[in-house]
Amino acid sequence: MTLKIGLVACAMSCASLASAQTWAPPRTPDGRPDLQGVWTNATITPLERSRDLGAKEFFTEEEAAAYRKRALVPSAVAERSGTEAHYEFTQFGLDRTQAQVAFSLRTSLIVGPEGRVPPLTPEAQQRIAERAAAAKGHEFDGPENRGIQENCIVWGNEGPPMMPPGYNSYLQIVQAPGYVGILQEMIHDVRIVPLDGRPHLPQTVRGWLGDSRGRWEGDTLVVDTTNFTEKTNFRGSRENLHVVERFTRVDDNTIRYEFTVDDPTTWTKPWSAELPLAKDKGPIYEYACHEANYGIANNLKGARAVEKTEAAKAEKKQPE
Amino acid sequence: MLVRLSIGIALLGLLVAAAPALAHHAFGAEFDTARPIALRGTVTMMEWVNPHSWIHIDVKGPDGTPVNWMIEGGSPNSLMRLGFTKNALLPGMEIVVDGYQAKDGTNKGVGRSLTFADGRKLFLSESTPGAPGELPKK
Repeated sequence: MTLKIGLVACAMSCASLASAQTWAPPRTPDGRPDLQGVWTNATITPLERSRDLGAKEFFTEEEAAAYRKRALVPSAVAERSGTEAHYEFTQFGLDRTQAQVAFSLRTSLIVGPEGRVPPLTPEAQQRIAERAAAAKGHEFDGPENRGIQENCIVWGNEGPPMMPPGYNSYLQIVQAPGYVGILQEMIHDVRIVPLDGRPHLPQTVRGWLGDSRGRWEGDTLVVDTTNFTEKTNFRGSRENLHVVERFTRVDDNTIRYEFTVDDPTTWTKPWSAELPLAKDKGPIYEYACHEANYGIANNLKGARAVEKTEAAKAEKKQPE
Repeated sequence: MLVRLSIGIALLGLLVAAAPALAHHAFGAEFDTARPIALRGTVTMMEWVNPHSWIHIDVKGPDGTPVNWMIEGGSPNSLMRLGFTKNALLPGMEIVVDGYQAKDGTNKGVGRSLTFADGRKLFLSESTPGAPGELPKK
């Protein structure tokens, strides 16, 4: 009975010791665990634990089923997007109820009793407040004022760490001797990770996705990433972000994806999260974001039109 | 009333927290909820492009002259995963658009809700794979 419960929990949480003992991963010709294929990180688990759950890190089976039932209901446009002026997600297959979701018993992606992002350092709070103050009122001045996501440069989910984007949550892993390639559908970027022990690039060379170096620790692929740009923004952390990701194939259909992020200039301590990557039949589709990014031009044109209307109103109010 | 409003806001906060980065760009800045549109038109082209699909339709003006409108929709990748193809919406099909016009006043809008002339939801139908609560067949 205990074993049965254990196995069910394993299937749900993808992290059971029992599984690791009885299941051996398929291997590439050079003997490494084969992580290749198309995977999805779609999830209903929030990054941070709801405060009313306290230190409770895992749901029971019953609680998880109830949570799933509540979470997998198509939500109204304004709830999902923050505005009424949006298309219905369900019409375009963008609702989580319309995609495969990788389930877990976790109550938050963040592991440990706190289950929440640690507090920002005073330095980070000041930095973020200053940036926000400088940007205020200039959000629509020009394309440079719009985010890198809206400019189709890097999508917020790409990281690393790789976070579930909410839809099109697919990634593909390809292995070659000495290298691992990780492609994320949105927005088409691939990280090529050398595994030969070479050092990180000099600090002067920085990339949108940072600079990744990998190694095997037993059957776990460990990827260490530094050298981000000051324009990359992971919850307030920018060029000093340090990410360590761990990929462990735990069964035929699941990779356990763990990450630890560290930035003493942003958080009071490092923090870690874990989520399953579920195997998907694929394929990954092209996502040529720039080619039809009319949204950014429309946003700026909208802002100019609003300014014009407001200026005309102000002129009318002027006394003769 | 106040209590109900604050509960609503708290609930919204929870939902948003659980569903990050859903909108690619600021829809509230692109489209104007003060300019609702209800259009009936004939498809002239669908741009199956990312990050957003765009449906072009000809809408007959008061004097019968067709006026072309562009309607913004979601990423086509998800439609393809649901089994829709480039033949799902072809030139000549009549559709009804319920949405909001672009803030710049041009003939662009967001397709808040899209239906065929007979009332069926565009793309969505009862036979849609992955209908709410159902996982796609492997």
